[in-house]
Amino acid sequence: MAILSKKESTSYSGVSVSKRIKSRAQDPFILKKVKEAEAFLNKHGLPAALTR
Amino acid sequence: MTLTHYPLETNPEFLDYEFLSIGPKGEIRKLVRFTRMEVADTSLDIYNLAFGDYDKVGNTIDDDIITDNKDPNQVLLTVAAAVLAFTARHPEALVFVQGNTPVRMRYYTMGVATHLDGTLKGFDIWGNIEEEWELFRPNRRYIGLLARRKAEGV
Repeated sequence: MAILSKKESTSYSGVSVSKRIKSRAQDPFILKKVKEAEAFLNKHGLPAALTR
Repeated sequence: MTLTHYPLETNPEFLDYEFLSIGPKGEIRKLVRFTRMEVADTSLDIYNLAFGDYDKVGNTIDDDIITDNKDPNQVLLTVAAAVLAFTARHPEALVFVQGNTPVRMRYYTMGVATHLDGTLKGFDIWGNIEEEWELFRPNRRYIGLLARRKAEGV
């Protein structure tokens, strides 16, 4: 895989932006991880500094 | 020797990132994804950071694989670069990280400790230990981490 492609990429904050990088929003792995993370935060809450 | 992160690519939404780990095992494709979460009793923008190797068989991410490509510090630095790029785009976002095993969580914690005065200097970071949140301190066995860019001028 070529990480940088001048034709397809633009640069932003030292990171290349490319439409070739697909969204993993519906990836089952991601969905599972998000569910676990939500359960964690709903159980433990947030740091006090963030709830004032 | 100054370590630099691997070249990093993201999509126009700045939510998905890819890079190649290069070492004795060859080129390993790594993926990072930030996903907004629904957390009760808060309107804060909280994103989960998921990270792992690309699994071409399932066309998914796998965080169970132990690659051992002899570049853990460079990989962590690259993930930190993804956090920087993401939070530059979403400065109010909180980023949550949880390792899939205690060993992986310790790896993340050590990585944060290493870059606390450098790459991550501009962040407030909290760790969850024994079901309580505290400001991040090195050498603690956290089970979850939360990070947010410090407000401008702080």
